[in-house]
Amino acid sequence: MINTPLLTVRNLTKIFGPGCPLCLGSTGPEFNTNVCSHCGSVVACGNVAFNLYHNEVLGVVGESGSGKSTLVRLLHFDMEATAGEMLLHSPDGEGSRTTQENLLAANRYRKRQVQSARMGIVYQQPQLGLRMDVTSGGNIAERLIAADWRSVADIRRRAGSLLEKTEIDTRRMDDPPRNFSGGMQQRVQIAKALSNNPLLLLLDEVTTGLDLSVQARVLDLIRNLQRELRLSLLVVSHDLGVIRLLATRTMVMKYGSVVETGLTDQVLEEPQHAYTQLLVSSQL
Amino acid sequence: MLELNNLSKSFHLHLFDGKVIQAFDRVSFAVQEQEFIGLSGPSGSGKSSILKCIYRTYLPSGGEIWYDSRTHGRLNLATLDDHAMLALRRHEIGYISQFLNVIPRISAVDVVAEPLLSRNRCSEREARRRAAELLERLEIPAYLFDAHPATFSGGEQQRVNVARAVIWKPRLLLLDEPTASLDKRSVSLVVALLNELKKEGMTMIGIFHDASLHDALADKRYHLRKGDAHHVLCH
Repeated sequence: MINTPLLTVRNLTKIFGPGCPLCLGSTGPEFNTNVCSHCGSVVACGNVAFNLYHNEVLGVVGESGSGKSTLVRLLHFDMEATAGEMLLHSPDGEGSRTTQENLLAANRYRKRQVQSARMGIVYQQPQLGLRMDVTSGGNIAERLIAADWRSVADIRRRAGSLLEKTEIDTRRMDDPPRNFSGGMQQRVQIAKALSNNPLLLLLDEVTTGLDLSVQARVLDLIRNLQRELRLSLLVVSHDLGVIRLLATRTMVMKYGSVVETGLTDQVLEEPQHAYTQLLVSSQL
Repeated sequence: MLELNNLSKSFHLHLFDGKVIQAFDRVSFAVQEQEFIGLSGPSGSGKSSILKCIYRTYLPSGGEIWYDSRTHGRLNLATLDDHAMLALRRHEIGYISQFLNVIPRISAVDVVAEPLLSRNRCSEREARRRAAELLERLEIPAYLFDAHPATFSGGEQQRVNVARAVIWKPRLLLLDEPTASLDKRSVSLVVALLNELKKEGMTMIGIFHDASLHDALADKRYHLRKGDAHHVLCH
């Protein structure tokens, strides 16, 4: 009755350490650990599966160590998955090929191509997403060049309009992010992530550590951009307030596993899993 | 249009040694198109939980909720998948509680215009114009349109809440005491508005504590005792 998913993830698993056949069966919330008792490996993500639809905001919550940041990095190919499938369905003609292609198994060139043409990411630490000593315009240009933009005038115009969209004074386009405040750095990261008109935008704890008023401004910006550009977002946060504000559906993770998924108001008002009940009742 | 069939809801509280609390048990009733069904009953009888189960804020524990969707046919909301439920929330089913739950930084007129912008894809100017018109009709003073509803009185907030809930004209509207802190004058404005929307075709299920509101709005009233629904009035 509604459109097909944009992103399908199945059995996504990341194990740090040697790994053994018993890892997945001996870790997770029911064992209260993500460390395999047989080989000592850490199961950061175990058999994670979900769909993300077009124009949808999916929240991922969980405490530190639940595997939510690992999940984002696997999806952005920042690290190699131990196992699993990731399908990115494209709305345009390229669909037939991408639909069946497991991107996690693709070669490095293909991953890079998909990453620069289809994805955007915003990290909690700006230094992961930006070159702090290169101008903010240059940071955006770098990404546009990766997505095959060639004309310097076009690139400069595009960078300027993106910075405007993310409320950065374009007079500061030639300043490096190092000279910016934390909130501004996040907004430059957002501008950079949006530069290639991504199908999928990944946000990893983007407002954690910012002052409350700065946090509010960044969240408002994300909300407005999502609505205007009809973006599909995966929003990772330990902050239930951020999830409530942004996400329509929410996934709760613990010890590398998804313990519950549902509509955000349902997960927050009537959490099913013992861990989510604890999480919600711990809110200030 | 909507049919509840032995619907039950219980809560499992893991933090209290798995204690189970029964909100309501095997409730059945039907709602015809363009009908206004009133729900009454003492606090704790499960009225709000019924509405939340229909809207999927709560997951039903048993029974069925059959809904005749305008575009998708007959659906069981008790087991419908999340995306399909979201589509219904977007296009057909609305919910309003007694609390205005919005972001503190947005002006009253934008709070009310927002459902139009995200659903009906109308222009920002048109959405704001219609929002202002509705606020005016509910007698929110014009100088408050650009102020933040968090700073409003309880009664003003509730009227903003009503405007936000009805502006996109959902096909089925679930109302959980939306007039609880309104004065007489404001209640009569809201009643007139709801009756007008009903004439235009909106179907509603409403919880009110004040019996006179049931008289003014409802075609039928179901009174809940602990656990089940009993049809007591029909007029």
